[in-house]
Amino acid sequence: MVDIILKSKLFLSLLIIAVIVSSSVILLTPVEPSTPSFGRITIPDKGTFNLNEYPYLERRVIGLWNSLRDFYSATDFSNESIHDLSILPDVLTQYFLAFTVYGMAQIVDSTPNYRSSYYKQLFDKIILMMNSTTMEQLEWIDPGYAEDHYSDLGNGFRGPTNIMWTGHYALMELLYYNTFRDPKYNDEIKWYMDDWNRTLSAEETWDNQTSKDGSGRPLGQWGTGLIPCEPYIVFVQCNSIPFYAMRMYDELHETNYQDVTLAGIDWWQTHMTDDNGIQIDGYYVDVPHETEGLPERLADNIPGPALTYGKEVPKVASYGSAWAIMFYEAFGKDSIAQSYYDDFKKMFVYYTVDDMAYTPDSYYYPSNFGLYDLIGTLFTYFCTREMEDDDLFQKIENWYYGPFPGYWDEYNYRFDTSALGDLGPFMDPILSFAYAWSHADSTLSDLMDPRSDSFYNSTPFISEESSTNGLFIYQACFDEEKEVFILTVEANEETKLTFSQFPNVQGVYTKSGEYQNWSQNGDQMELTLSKGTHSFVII
Amino acid sequence: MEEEQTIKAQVLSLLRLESNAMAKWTFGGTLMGILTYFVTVSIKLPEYTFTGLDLGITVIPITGGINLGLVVITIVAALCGPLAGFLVAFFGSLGANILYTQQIVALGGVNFAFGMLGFIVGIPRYRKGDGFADGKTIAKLLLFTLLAYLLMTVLYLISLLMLASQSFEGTLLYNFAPSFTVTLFSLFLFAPVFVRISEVIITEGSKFWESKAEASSM
Repeated sequence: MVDIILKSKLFLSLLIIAVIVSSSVILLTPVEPSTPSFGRITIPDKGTFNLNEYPYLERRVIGLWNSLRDFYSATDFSNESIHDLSILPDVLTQYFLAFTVYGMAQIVDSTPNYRSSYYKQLFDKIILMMNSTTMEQLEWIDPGYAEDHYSDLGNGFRGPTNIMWTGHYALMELLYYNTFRDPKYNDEIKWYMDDWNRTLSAEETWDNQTSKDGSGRPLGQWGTGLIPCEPYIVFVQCNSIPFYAMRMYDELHETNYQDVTLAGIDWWQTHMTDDNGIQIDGYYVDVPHETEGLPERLADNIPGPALTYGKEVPKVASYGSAWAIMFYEAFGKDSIAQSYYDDFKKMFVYYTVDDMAYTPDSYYYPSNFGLYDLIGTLFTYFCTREMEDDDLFQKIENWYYGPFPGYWDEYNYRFDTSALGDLGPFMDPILSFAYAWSHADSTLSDLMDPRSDSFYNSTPFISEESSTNGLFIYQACFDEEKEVFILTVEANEETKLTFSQFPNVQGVYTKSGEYQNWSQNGDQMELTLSKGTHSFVII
Repeated sequence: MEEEQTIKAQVLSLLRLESNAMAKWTFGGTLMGILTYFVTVSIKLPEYTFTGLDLGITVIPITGGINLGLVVITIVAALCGPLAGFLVAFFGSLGANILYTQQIVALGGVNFAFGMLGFIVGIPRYRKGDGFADGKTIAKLLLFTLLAYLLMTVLYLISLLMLASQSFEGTLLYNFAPSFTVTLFSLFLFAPVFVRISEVIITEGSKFWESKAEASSM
């Protein structure tokens, strides 16, 4: 039969090339180190523990965190490093940092009992970068907002009319507290809570008009129940950040800041929803002093919605809709989120081939392709996950990551964005944190249900490691009910883990029996790991 | 009347439906092809990007790999004709879309583009004479595959740009570039190899069964 097959020279040539190509692909394709399987561990007199039932992080997610640590030089807290934001794009800079931290909070929350400087440093670094003078220059002074004529209202980059920075900054600080229970930012967080509360509970607007809705509830200083970003314009998505933060603060401190947000939530649904059931991207409460170069188009009648370029219809934006929907879902307004999500899918989601989908920035211009279309699809990616829409999530991921092959650079995972040309460096860290965010075990909704203070103050946690080089902590979770510590870890060199708040350890168990390489040192326990992947139940 | 008869005969001949035996062969191949397509498109084989070709507007990754679905379409089209090729490509891809992603996009435009690939590849009667044992037949297959590929690409782009409303840059970056070289490898390298192997298996298999049948009748 072989003779018959090989009769033609052309065929023989094709066959040889096919064999060469196939062999090259098989030989060159690296075997990707994978997330381990967790299995079961049996402890005498304690029973069997199924580790698959506990939260875990994928190997890629930890590899992406390693890349982000390098990208942000997480251990360098020098003034120069904090204030030099040249590694970041000079557009959307503050969003870049804020949303990275939101993803980070979900990642750290997936291994809640691993709280060493490995995770803390990156939080600290990004929060400091967010509060840098360079950020103020980029986001407030350069666009000319510092010159605006409402500056006598206490305006300023860190002031009450810049919710797009203050909201993000305070939430970043609050997530830091929620994640580590370190109170160092608490005074500042409280200041913002009170400031938003004051702004939103005002019964008179900045221009001395009565500010109440039909039920007599105050609509705040801006008459909308919302706080502006750029001069005299309010956005639903930007306000979803303080609204989420106020609820998280209430959960953590048993306060009731969230009441002041209810009138605004009702107001925007009535005044900022277009005929297609989509939230409008921006509503002007007054004419800004400087109108040239504004990203939104002004309508003839102000107050009123920003308009779509080239059309007499309200402006819509997929990034803003997806962003607001996911935060409304996360802070418990499920029915509002679901209703807007259904219309969002109808209007914004475009399927290209059967297993790919994207969302253009505006459904009035579905064939545009630019930065805001990429950002819109990115937020849809986050939103589908928060809405647990697995089918659309996968289709968006297929589209978004298709041209950017992922690869391991030793212990860092990265995406090759060279196919994007000039946009490549911009999208590089975005693709990294977005994938890591979307593959963490926790969600924004999970974070809204904080663990108790006692979980942080009295249960064991990994507080230090002798090296983070090649260290992958897949599971680190203290089961309060069974009083056991679940740990799955990969070490690529001999590594010592220090556990705090862990006195009187009775034993460390693996799948093959009791593990001996640990020691007790007062309230601390030290576990020494050889190179390899290990699963433990510690009692 | 006679002319009508001739056209009808030509059409039936083109579609490989000129006799009951050919119709059985065509629809048998179609059925087998669709089932094989469902199985093969769900298999993810390794791919490796050797380098990237910078075209200015985008970078085309030179990726080695195989799209088994395209290979199945080519095999059925080359062995069973254009109707079978079209049906396998169109209904195979449409069925796989519904089966695996519950999604039909651009009014089935992409599926139609695949269908036309199968149709054009299947037009010549390759199995006359020595069949694919003859290098000229393989060359003819490659030529028709090239024509089919060009038509498929045009229809695919029209479908994504007009029916799915995607931008040209988006289509290029997200749909066209990532699979470009894998499609070329599949159609112009792996497909002819597998077509020839399939032909030999069918021919030798038939001979084997015929000899078994003869032996049992004696």
